Amino acid sequence: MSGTEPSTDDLLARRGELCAAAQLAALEGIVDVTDSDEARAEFNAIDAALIARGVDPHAG
Amino acid sequence: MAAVSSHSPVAALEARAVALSLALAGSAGASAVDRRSAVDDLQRAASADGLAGPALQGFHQRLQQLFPDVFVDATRYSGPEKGAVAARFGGVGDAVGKQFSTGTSDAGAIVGARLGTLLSSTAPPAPLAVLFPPRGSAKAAAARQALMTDLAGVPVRGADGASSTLLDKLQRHPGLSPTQHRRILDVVATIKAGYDNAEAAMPKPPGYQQVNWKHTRLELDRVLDVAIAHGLSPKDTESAILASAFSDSVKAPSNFIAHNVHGAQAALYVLSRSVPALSADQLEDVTRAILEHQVGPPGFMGQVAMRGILKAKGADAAVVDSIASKIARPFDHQHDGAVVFSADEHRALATVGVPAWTVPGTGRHQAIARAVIDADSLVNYACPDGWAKLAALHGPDQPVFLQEPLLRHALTSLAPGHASARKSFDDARAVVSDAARPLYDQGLARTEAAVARVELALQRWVVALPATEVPVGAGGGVPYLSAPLNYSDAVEVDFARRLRDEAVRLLRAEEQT
Repeated sequence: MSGTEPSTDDLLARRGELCAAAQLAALEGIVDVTDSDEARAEFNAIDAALIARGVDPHAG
Repeated sequence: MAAVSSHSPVAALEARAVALSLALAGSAGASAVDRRSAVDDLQRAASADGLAGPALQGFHQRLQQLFPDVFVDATRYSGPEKGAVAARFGGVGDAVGKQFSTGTSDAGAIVGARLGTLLSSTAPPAPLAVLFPPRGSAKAAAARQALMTDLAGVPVRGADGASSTLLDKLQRHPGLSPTQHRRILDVVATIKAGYDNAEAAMPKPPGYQQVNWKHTRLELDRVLDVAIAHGLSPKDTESAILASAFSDSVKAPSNFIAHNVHGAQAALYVLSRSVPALSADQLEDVTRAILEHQVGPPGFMGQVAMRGILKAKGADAAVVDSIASKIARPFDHQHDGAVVFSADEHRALATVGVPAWTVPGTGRHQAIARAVIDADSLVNYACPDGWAKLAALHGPDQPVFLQEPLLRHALTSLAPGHASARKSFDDARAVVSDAARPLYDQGLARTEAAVARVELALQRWVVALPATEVPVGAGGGVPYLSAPLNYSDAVEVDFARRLRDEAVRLLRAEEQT
């Protein structure tokens, strides 16, 4: 892994941020900052990267 | 800001200025011309009252605080134009100004003059006069009676832990007088009607204001518990109840980030006409507590809500990072009850209608403000009903970010890559007071026990279903309950919807036990 690639912890933290934003948006009915193709693409890329590293992104 | 005598010409002018700024902020039809015209009128009035020297200078500075948009280019504004038409507010400004500055409403004017963080350029869902119109005595009595019937149907735990109703718990709360009971009921009835009026004015998303009303009822219950934990006097208990009731009284998706300011404006607007009148000090305590209540959960508010809203406005990334970090740590970076921002940060916040971010401060109102935050946190994150609300937002038909494999992930997961009710509990705990923390932690224990019972009940519910209605998940488990839900399988997804609905129903039922 190159030095510029995010760590697994960073990927999980960013995934959690996106999930938290979506939860707040749903809870309060505010503009969903994750409701974009860009955010969904980032989310899917994070999951793909985690899986490639042998990390289950869904592990609860 | 120092208190201002209500009998001096400066105080009267300041009170009128605050009332006008509030009325125009709350009037959907008010324009920049109206605000400019208001400033013109106030400048003329100052001149007519003979204000000069430092007094005039101080009043001018106050106008700049109240009407920053009018003064945004100081070289362009040099005072009222000769022959300009006075009073172009359609009567709204004058009516509210009179209400805030005469008779029982003196307290409202004084408090408005004391607070410098009572303004937002974000519009409320409807003008305050539309949300909370004055009512005659007969209508007020009918609304009070209807509210009592409503509250008598809300099961709660009494202060002794025994089953009770919300009305009974309120009426038995130690030290509250019949006068306080009546004032609380009248005010809460007005707020309840305000939710109906807001729903009519802004019907989307459907049911939003009814959720607000149910939250208000539960928070009323919790604030009674918290008042005992804080050892609040009857007067401070009443203040905490009123602040709690108003805290979300003017809240919609459109003003989420400024709803504390609008709630505080609503308190001044409604309580200024309450009979018997509150003292200026008590009204100030209520208003300050409302302004300060929106700090939790701090991680959510800073790193999620404010960050997202500023990013959507295209704010500079470093400025966004700094603002989000400050809001996420409300007990740092504060001065006199508000976060201290740099000039760049203020400019970014102005683009989203947030001139100040109030945080729990010190002073006479401190315990009241903390009680309101505690009660709000208890309702949202430390009880089965709060977790039911979050469970409903995860799973099928929700954004991909909230499509977890298992129901329990939405509730109890502590994994960094998830959002869950438990993680929100931890976030909000950072702003729960020492006095209420035992209640908060007991709430978690009670809620986790409820979740365990609900999972058992769901297993029984599955067993009772016809076998043909229960798809077989991975490893022979039940999708979304004991086996990961396959979101590309329509049969599994349909079943998971039913399972989630049943879980939400069971969790809500746990609230009553």
